[in-house]
Amino acid sequence: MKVNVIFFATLGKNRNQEIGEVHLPKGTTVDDLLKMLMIDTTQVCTLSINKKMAAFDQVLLDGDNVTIIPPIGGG
Amino acid sequence: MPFGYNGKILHVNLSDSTWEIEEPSENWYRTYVGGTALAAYYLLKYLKPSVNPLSEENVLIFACSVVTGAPLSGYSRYTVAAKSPLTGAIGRTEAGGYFGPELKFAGFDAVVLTGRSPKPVYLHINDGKVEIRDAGMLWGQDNWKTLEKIRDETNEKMVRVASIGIAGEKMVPYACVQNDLEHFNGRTGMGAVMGSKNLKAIAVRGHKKLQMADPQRVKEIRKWHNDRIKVHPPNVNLSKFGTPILVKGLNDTGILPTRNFRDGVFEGADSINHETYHNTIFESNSTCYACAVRCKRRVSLKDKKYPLNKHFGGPEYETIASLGSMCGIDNLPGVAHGNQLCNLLGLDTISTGSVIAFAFECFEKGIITKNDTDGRPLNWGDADAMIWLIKEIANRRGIGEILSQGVRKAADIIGQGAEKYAFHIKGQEMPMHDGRGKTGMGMGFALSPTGAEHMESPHDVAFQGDGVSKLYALGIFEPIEPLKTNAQKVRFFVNGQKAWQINNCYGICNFCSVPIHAMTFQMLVDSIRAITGWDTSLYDIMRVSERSNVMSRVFNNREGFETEDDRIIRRWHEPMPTGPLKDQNIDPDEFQEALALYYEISGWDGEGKPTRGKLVDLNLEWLIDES
Repeated sequence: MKVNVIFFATLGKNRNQEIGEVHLPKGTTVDDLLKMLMIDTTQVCTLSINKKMAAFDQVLLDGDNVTIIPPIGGG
Repeated sequence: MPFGYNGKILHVNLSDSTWEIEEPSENWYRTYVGGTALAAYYLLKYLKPSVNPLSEENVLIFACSVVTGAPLSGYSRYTVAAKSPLTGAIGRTEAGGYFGPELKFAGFDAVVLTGRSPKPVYLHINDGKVEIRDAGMLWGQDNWKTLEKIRDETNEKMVRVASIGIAGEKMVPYACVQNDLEHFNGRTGMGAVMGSKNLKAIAVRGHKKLQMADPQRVKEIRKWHNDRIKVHPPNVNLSKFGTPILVKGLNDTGILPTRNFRDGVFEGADSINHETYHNTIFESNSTCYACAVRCKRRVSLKDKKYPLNKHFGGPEYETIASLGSMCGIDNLPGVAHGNQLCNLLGLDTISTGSVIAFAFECFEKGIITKNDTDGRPLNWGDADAMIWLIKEIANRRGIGEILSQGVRKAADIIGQGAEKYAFHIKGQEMPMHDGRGKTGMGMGFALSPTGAEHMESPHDVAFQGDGVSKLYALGIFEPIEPLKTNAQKVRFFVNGQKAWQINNCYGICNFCSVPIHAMTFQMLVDSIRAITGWDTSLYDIMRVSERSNVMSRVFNNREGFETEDDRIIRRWHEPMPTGPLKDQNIDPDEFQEALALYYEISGWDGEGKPTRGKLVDLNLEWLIDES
């Protein structure tokens, strides 16, 4: 199956680090995806799948759009 | 019978040691609910314009809300407010912990203190019984000894104590109030106002059960919320690593305040980030009343030079940056020891770190010399110098006497162009965020009624791409562009500010609440309905937060603040010199346009004053002649 991933790794010129289409086996979770992309879970603040907030253990489905934003806010 | 609140406000006159209890109507509670809104009401009602913030005429308020103490994660915060000795504007600051809920269980929703005691005292509230006790033996003591002595004297280990340290007694204008050694009403100098009133502490104990309209529904919401906290990524990370997790993200994106906002990348960031923290000084998690997030840290270290005691809260992100990267310091035990000293002495770590960074830069430029510092150099990266300055500031000695007045006044006294390096807004030093990477947050700094403040609105970076879906309930559908200052950004800020201020009015922790953390707007409204029994809505509670903001604006207008005071610092208008955001700045003209648009959307006139129509709309007719 295929999912689309956007990782907002930085605010600079290459702000939208569009990792793009990623091929994954069925049953892959967000956690598995992050490991594959070598993104530390501690560097995930906003995590959305198809415009809904998601959890690390959520199982991905074919065609999912995944957005990842690191903790760069405050409060 | 009211649900969620007691219906009782305690008024204490410290000048003659008398008190009375006010019982406002339900409509009053629905209008002012608590926290910053309730505090602004009393400040506008009781405080005359232009009074000296450190005189007996100032009014000091401790305000819970109609939902404080409900058994939900994050519903524990309370506001301390008064006219600020640091800014001359409205002063207010929130803290979590157990003090707020305990005040509710003791029978009161808020305490309003007027006058000045002729001698040091502390206020003891025990299950509705009020007593003003002698604090002669506490005066001159640090916060730890104060807590221990009050526990001994009241013979009550579970008494909750909000106190000031020596800095508050000496009226350092950025002295803080703290409760139980690890929770802080840090900003705007409320500790100095307590000190000016000879009020060392407020100690509360209560056994009253909070009556809620629909306890079963509250129980259901608690389970839903706490289950979500376990899996919602920002909460998962806060539970594991706390706010220190921000160091890496902000440094990687080029907006970690470094060397007095000169840089956005700190070469020593790895030495002060969450990994180093947990591998070297971390002792255990800690938490606030009924909260499942457990983001607070305790630290310990057996070290001759920088010992750390687990009784104090470990440094949060703001402190790691202010005493660390802002001062060019990569020594984490040194930073944590500086934090411990600030906690003992009662100083706001954000202002303290900013003041020290200002001093370091003045020393680098030759504006402050060894002649001013008893021969001691003040170089970037020198943790010993940072710790020495904390002690000098708290005790108002030597160069510390000048620096204790905050960067704005210190620069005036020092002269020689020092104001070029004194970064503040409305007189308050900058929290640890750089507007060049998030212009909406920059608007928050400029427009916060308390001066530079990072808790004014959610930071725009969290709503990039599909992250904007967290704002759908507010009618915001377009992804937020962090680096742009345009009409879309103003629309986001206006609505984001109202949403964020719900938390300050209702006393709910942002780390548990909307729009970023494990709460939805729908469930937030449901929780308020279940606790109070009120037929309320998102529209209603956002009007409460707007009312709070407008009252604060009227207060500041009354004190002479103008649109020129709504500004950001020089360095944010200059290009970032290095890092991923190299050459990024905030365009001054675009920023002015954004502010003008904000006034227009908000129903404020060209002078930044809320119009008569806006005041009527918000049930604030009584302020028409004040604006």
